[in-house]
Amino acid sequence: MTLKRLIPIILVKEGLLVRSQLFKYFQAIGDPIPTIKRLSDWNADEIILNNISDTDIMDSRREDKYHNIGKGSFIELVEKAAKFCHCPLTIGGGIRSSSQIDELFQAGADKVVINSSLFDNPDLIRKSSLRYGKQAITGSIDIRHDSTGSSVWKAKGKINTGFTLDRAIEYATELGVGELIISSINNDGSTLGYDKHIIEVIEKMVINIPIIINSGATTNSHFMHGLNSKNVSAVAASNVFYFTELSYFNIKKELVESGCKNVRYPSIDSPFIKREPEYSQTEKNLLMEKARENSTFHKDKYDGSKLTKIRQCTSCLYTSISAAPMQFAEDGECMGCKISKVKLSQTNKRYDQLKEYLSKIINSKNLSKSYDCIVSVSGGKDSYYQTHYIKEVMGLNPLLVTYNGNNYTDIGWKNLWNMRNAFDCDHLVISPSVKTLKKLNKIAFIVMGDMNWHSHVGIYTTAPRIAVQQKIPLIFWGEHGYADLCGQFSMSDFPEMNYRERTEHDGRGFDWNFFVGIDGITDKDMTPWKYPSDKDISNIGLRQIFLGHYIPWESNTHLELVVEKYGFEVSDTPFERTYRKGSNLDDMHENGIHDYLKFIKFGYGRCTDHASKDIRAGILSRTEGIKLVEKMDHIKPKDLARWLNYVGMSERDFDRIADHFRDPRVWSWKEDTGWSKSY
Amino acid sequence: MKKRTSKILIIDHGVGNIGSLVNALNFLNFDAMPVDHEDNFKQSQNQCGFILPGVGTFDEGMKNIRGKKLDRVIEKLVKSDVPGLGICLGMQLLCKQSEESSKNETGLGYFDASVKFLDNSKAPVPSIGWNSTYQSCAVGNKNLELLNGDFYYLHSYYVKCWDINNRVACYKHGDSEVTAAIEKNSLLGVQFHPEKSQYQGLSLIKNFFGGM
Repeated sequence: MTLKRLIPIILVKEGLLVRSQLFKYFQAIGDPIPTIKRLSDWNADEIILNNISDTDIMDSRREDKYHNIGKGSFIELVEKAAKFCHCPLTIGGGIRSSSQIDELFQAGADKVVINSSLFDNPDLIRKSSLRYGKQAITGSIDIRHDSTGSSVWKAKGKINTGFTLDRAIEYATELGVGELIISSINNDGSTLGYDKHIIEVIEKMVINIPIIINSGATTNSHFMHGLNSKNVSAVAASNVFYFTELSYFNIKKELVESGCKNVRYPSIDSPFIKREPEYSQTEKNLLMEKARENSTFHKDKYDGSKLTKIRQCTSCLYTSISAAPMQFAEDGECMGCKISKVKLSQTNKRYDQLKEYLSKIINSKNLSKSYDCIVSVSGGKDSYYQTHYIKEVMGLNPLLVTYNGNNYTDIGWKNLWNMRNAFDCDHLVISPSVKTLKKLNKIAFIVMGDMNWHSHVGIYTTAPRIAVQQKIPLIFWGEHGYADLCGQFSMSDFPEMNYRERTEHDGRGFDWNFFVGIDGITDKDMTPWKYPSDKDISNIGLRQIFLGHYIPWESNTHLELVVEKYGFEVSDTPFERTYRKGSNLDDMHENGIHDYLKFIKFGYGRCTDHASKDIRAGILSRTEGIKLVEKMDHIKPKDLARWLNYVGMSERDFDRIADHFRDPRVWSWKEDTGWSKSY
Repeated sequence: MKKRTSKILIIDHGVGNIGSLVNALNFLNFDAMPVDHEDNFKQSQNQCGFILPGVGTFDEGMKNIRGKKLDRVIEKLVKSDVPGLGICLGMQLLCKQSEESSKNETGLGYFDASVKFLDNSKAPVPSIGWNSTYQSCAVGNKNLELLNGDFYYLHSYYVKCWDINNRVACYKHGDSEVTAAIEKNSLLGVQFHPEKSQYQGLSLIKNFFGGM
């Protein structure tokens, strides 16, 4: 018997992987490639990659990322994706001609998905199924319910075809498609489960080609409902696969454990498919090339003529070129502002419900005999607040875990060591070798324009490593950074920390093994940055919860509480690059040169981050924000001297290397006036 | 990176997912060499095998193979006992004839078998997805015990073996047994896509070409 498939659908918009809601709102999750690789690692039954871009050219250039997809066509993306994908790869979106289909198969597609052309160009379907066999052609049908009834829409849900669902299924089958995927516009991103109308219609029909149903499924019972329906050969979903660690594997495992017999058992320990990206020596050499005094640097791409139009949010100060992937709603407001509004309007009743969810998660865990959970703390205001909440409000006994990157400010260091007194908790501080840290600072600056790779990846590796070692199945983090910054998720998604986020966002695609062999760094030197294996994580059932999803989270309020109740100290000297005083005391460069490099790359800095947050919180006007940003975003900070001395680099080399990371959409270069910003 | 020494020829007849195949072979550290015409083919010692891939229809495949004189390439390879793997349509092209052909086009004829339309009365056709596959008789190539397991299928036609002893593996489509693999001398045809069947499929490719 053919096993029923569980299919993740990867939606790509202008090169970025997005979360979709109602075919209308899109939230950027990140790069499609690492997610496709991850799903293939987990033995996904099949992956559908669907291009929903408005333009043919995708532009997601990132000179500082390992997976720099750059500017190119969707076909190039498919070629790259296929290299990492050892399971069937089905490609769809905007297919209008046979030559496009030929190109996709050559690029690595195993099947193609056709939506609008089913209705606009039926001949294409007839011809293609003769050339490739009907099994290679999947038709796609989107249904929408509104006040006038239920009908099938085309062109990404923009045009009503007038077809009813059953008629569209018959029509597509007669044309010669080998399979059909049916999605619901109303249920897209809803987390409500599959569309009952779709299931009702297909159960009543005689259908002898495979049917895939899609949209809305997030829970075990949703998938079960789909899998147990008549005429359904496969169930698909999209957003849910981005929320948690081992998401695909865990959903499959849960299905099998709850009695589902007709699905393939997943695996996560394939002996020769490696989770970590593999880097060749040539790639490493090429990326380290910038360190060479007379390395080539092409200033011609900064002539200003190739500038792409940059969007700016109509409410806050973020633009479309940002460290966090940014998407905008039709009204011009960024998704960060949209989600922030939803968050601020959450009622007390909703928070009561969220607290219940949180209690359920905690009660579902067989808490270890030693510690109930780990709280990953840097010693900052959020760490204090988290510990306060977990210890005092929830009554748990946490182990505090810290990654010490050797860059604490005096006051940050004092706050960190005060925690075991203030909270009466055990505290484990992991301090990697300073010699290795210096090397990592320097190498990471050269290859990705960020000396703080070690701390971003170190923080998100240390807690899960200790959790696996001590068999503590629960880790608490504070706020989900990108959900907050760019509105990456909806308020009902509850994303958890995971390998993908750590490696793709915090590590920019560079994992620990990249550094081995450079500057004498050995495999063993990298131990503090080695993330536990999928199998070890699965064995203890580790979950990494962001407390920020479940309780009201307003940093300014937290600060008041922790200062008053626990003796948290704020900096008495103001920062050079932001007007706030309580942030990032754990790393003297985080608000300094690390942040200055963000300005070099994208044209903005910490002040824009803080002003945007304060605008969203209603405590700063946009005009006031702009004034602050104009004053602070460009400042070259004084901590640079310490860092240059720490790693042994000249300021000239620093500036020269940093220029390599400038985004050509933001910066232009003229021989007489130097660098200038386009907005 | 390990050094690639073993070369595997891919018979590139124009319609096919050769992108996927090249990726899988490179991943396994084989050197994938597409051959798209007899004129571009030279037989050499370090060719450890060839693959006849397949996405597309029987007629389209045969037309291109004959047009590009790739049938003569295959003949030379088979004569010198170079291990050959036919995948999906590639396996069907190695048979005598196919119901899919509208022009009664004959196949390459190495396997004593004909290609027939899958029965759609008990299960959907095309057959798309993962099937538990099992060995149904002794296999000549001792590296092939990995034929037992889940593999990915994508087909509307199946291979009916004239001699049941050539059918080395099967799977169940509805309630009928369908050929999953056919073996004759140095040739193996598989209905599933090993290049897309993750660990199970990649291991099979590696084992078949003797690289484990």
